[in-house]
Amino acid sequence: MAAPTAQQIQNLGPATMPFGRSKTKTIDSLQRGAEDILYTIENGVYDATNNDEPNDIEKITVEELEFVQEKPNEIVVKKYLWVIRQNDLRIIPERTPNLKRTRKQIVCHTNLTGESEALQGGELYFCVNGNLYINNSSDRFGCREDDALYATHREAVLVYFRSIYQNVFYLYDNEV
Amino acid sequence: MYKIAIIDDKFPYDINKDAVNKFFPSTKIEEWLANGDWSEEGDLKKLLDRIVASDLYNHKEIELICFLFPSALLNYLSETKEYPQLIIFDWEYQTQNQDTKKHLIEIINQTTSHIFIYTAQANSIWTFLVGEVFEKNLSRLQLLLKGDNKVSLFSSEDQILQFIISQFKEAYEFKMGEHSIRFEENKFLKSPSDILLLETMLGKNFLLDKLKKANFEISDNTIENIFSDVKLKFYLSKDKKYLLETKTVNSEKKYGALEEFSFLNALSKFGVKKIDKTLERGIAQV
Repeated sequence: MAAPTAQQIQNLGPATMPFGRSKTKTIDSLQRGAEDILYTIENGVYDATNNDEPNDIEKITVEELEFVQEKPNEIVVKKYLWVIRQNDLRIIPERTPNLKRTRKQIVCHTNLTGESEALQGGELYFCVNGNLYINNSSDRFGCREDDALYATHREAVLVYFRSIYQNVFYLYDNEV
Repeated sequence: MYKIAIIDDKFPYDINKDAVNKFFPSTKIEEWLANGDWSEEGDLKKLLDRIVASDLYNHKEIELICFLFPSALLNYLSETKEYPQLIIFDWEYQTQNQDTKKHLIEIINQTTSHIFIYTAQANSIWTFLVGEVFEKNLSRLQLLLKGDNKVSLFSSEDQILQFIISQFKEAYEFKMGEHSIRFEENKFLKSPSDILLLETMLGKNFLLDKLKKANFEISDNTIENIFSDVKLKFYLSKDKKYLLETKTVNSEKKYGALEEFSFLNALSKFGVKKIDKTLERGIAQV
């Protein structure tokens, strides 16, 4: 478990329901299979502990990092989804099948939360160089660049991850 | 002819040894639909009734074949080398000890068919359908709960019907629950299945309200009306490689002067799938 501190929760929040920060979508937009929560490590769900990594990890190469934005689908096998909740950080490989979903039969962020709140969400890559690269790409829980709290949230996410893992960086400095 | 194989041991047929490797043609299914006792499988009957009542079936563009067990389909594939384009696969078999997951994997490996795993057990088996074979074939697999009409405007049966209709180009009428929707190919949506993306983007209640106002007709006019209230803009990078959901100092610094598009113009120019992806991740390659 990697529960955020009270100060971290304050900086990461307020917690939001799925799509709570979206301009167009609401929880009403959740499709079949997106509202079901996965609990166990057998299902690929990983509760982060200090500087530890999930089992059977697929690491991205430094060369591939250059193409994450340009060719995200080709590197999806090495992409992990994360959400920070009040009590933990949950991580799952995005390639994990979820055949109940209407389209894109792989897991999404709400498979880590169900129809419940989270503080933040995004994607991450474990890199062969030992670094962890993160972003805020989650239409369900991610902070948004046009939001007044964007800078606070983005910094708070980085501070939180660095309290668990060494060598954490944003994937792109000026990433949208 | 578009061949649909349905595997389920709850057809109104007296199961005995000879049924293990048997297959049943469309005529038999019509006979069962007219006279059989479907008390154990109302949802499957409703689905088949709708397929058989469709224009596609009546114009002989669709052929149905049924099997009582997955092993019977495997036997059929091995003997005839005739592969269905679509397989509707039940998970539960009570009268024979069928290793369902093993047979499903064999069917996935032996065909290129789209497969709906259509079962009353969907909520308990969905975490079980993982592993390499599923990861490699995600685009042609889907798990549907029989009779489910809770989460989406489109029931599980609606989704199967929509998928079938989407394999044909002509305009067709189809059902969303009690409502008939007339789909015409238009400059915004290429396939009836694209309506599911609209539901994701806008939410089911908003979409239902808009469809009611449009008398359940999907056309250029309907889509224009649906999106007339949506003020969201999209932005194309200077090199025209990326579509962005937001325009900020940072994004202009990174992607150059951004070209603005209204939601409708973006939908028309980049397509509904690209718009959905942009909304999901904030950025998409175009």
